[in-house]
Amino acid sequence: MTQLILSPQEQGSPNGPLLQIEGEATLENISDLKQALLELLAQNAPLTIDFAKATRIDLACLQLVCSARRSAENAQKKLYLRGTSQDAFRSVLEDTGFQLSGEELSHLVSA
Amino acid sequence: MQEQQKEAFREEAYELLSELESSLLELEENPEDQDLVGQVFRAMHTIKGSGSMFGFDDISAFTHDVETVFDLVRDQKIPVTNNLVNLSLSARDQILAMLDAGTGQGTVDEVQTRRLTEQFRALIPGQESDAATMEEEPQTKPDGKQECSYRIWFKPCAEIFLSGTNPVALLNELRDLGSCHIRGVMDDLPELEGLNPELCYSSWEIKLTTDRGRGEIEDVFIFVEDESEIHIDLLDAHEAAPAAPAAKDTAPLPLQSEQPQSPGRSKAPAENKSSANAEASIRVPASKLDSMVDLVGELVTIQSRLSQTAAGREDAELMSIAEEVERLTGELRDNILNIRMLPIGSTFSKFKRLVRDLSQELGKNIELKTSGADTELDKTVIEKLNDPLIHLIRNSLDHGIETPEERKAAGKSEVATVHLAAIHSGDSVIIEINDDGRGINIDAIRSKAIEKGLIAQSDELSDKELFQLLFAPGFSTAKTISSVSGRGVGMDVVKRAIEALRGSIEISSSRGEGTRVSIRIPLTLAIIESLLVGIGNSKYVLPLNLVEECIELSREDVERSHGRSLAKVRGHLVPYIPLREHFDTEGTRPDIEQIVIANINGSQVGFVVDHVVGEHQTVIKSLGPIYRDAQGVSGATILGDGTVALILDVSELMKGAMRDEASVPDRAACC
Amino acid sequence: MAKTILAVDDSRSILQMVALTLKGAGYQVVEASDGQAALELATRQSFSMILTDLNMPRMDGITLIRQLRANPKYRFTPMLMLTTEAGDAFKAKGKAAGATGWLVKPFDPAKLLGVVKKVLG
Repeated sequence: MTQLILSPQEQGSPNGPLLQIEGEATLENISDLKQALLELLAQNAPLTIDFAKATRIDLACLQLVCSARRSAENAQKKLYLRGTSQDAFRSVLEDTGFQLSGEELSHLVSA
Repeated sequence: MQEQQKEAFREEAYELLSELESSLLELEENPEDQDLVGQVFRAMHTIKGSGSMFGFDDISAFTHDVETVFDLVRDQKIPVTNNLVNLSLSARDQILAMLDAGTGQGTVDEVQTRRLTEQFRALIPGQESDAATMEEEPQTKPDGKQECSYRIWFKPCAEIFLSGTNPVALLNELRDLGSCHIRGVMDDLPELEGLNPELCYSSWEIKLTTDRGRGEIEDVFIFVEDESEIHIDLLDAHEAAPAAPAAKDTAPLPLQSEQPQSPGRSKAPAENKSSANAEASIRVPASKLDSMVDLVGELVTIQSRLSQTAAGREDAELMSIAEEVERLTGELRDNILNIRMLPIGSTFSKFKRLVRDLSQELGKNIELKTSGADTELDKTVIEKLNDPLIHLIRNSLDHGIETPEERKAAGKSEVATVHLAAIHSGDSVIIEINDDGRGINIDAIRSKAIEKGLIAQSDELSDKELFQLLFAPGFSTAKTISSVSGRGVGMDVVKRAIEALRGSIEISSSRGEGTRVSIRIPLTLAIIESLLVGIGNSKYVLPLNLVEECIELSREDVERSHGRSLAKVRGHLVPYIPLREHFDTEGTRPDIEQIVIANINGSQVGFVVDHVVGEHQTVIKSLGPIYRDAQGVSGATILGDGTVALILDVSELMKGAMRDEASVPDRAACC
Repeated sequence: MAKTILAVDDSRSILQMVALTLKGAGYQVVEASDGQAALELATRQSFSMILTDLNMPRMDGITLIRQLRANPKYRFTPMLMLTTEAGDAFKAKGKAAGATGWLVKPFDPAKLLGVVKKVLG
């Protein structure tokens, strides 16, 4: 089925963990992704999620990311998104009619 | 393509109708059997559904009411009665007539269609004109090509993903309708901890400018409208005009919604495809199989030529190749012939109906029992057996089975039994029709045969021979002629039909107890094991299953028998037919000839030939019309060296010989 | 890679029409003639979509849909019912079992393709 590789790494930016998403981040494996995010957000450091190697992202994943950002915001933690200008992330935004809003936009550009 | 699909439907419908018939007959016996009710319902349902798909509207409409009735039977709102079964059988026949009429065979009795429809409707409680419910829902049609703008609010139910619906697909559908601006909203999104990531927390506000009608927009949401919040508002022209460009202006990111669907999702390919389905089968036209059998036949011919050539070369390598080819050809042949084998059961179930209808007509109480329905026979053989079997069963029902009163008087059960059985026996199948009727009066046969000049007063015939007389043309023992079994012209036709299948038929009977008709049919028609013999420069083949043994016939033996064609085989005399003379063969007779002893229906007869070549795989080719009347030859085959050999019709030859012999006044009483 | 659709119907002619239509549109199609056979196939391999008739021997379409939905592999898979009924109660029953949508017989190839595309996105 759909494959999803989650690679949490130490060298996030800046100085926090990095979650590298490879393959398809969709409904079929969304619970795994949620679990990974929960664990990483529990650490007291800024988290970076990198979508550059994702081949497909769907609405469920987008919801999850938004929910994670909301949680981070409320907990006053930093959550950065990378690779959002790549095809997979752009497609899901186009298809679903959502936009990324707010300050994190600037961090996207660095990806 | 269209015609092909119609043909596929017809084929399927014919099959369903034959299953339907047996289900209905079984249902009559077991009215409480819900499985059977389900089968009948499904057959009707499929005929109706498929019929309407492929343009058989008359069939579909007619079947609709029948299906409705059986749906109610399924819900136990209508009981299974004799009347219902009768009505349903008539409906089944009517559908059959409609199908036939579609291929130009016969016409449909419209009055009967209406009558049956009314009778079925009468069974449905509270049946009103269902014209109202059948009517299409009025469609909102766009008036003209005028563009309108709509504001659409779409909030799917949270569980939408779990019903297999991807809301993005719906958005894409809206995009296809016209110029679209879509804004997603995720206001109620919980924090990560409380998020069920498999639920949908999104909703959308869409501005759509389109020349399509509102109905088409509603259609987009047809599968989700019950569970979702959907509002579609027509924006007035004033508001509508700037709507589309305005939407573009306000979009903060230059990501236009009108872009086509997301790139193709690459789900893992399904492995091992449908071959995994153990029950998978394919349907091919019978003609394809026939031509395959022909080809295998030719292959067998070439293969035997190869074997012959190899045998003459004394080349070990060539020999071993020839042997391998022989083995493979044999396997291929068996496999191909096996593909053509079908269970005889479908034919049997047809007879259930026949027996049911005939017993009603005759006022007799008859039960048909069958056994061996899964016995397999060559497809062509099964088809050709149909008419002879119908004839024999009719005969048995009409003449063999007594009226209930007669049976009672004879101390028998009022319900008569006809047992139809198929038994596998070597390379043949034996089909038996047994009844427990009055049996055949053998003295009546005898006197009738004498009266008709078939035998002489003085002739002493065994019971078996007397029963065989029933198959003589124009022979009938029935005192009256009934509409059921006709005038007795059939039995000789039956016998000829069976012989055309290279089979044989026999009757035995005991008075008051019943009659047994036994038919022996070879499993397949196309290729037979045979014995190849030579006479002069010609070659002939005899079916090997009839051959018992081969013995030598010396000139002295011939002289010793004083001109009569009788040979002593293991102590008793066997008549023989000198084929050399029969076929007017040129050349000189060898000093020592061979007699091939064949056994036909228990009687031995010898065929004198110059020499016996050996066993041979014979691919039967029918003779052209010119040779159809050739006495004693049933077909031809091509030998390995390319020459033609004639296939001897052994039983025909024997009959001819018996006729000749019978005309000799002082014939020897043998056996 | 073409999407593979499992088509289930006990009517051979309909199954043939469905398969030809879908194959013509570039989908791969695997056929089954009743719910039980379909369930076994679906367990062994994976399908992007299920198209099933309702009235079938051995296992009906509603049961098939319910059973497949319970399989983690098919939680989000589109499943369409092919049906001669158009009533609401019946649609609700199908939806409750987990059907994505329905296609009312008779349908023509264009309609079939339209609905398949609709649910496959």
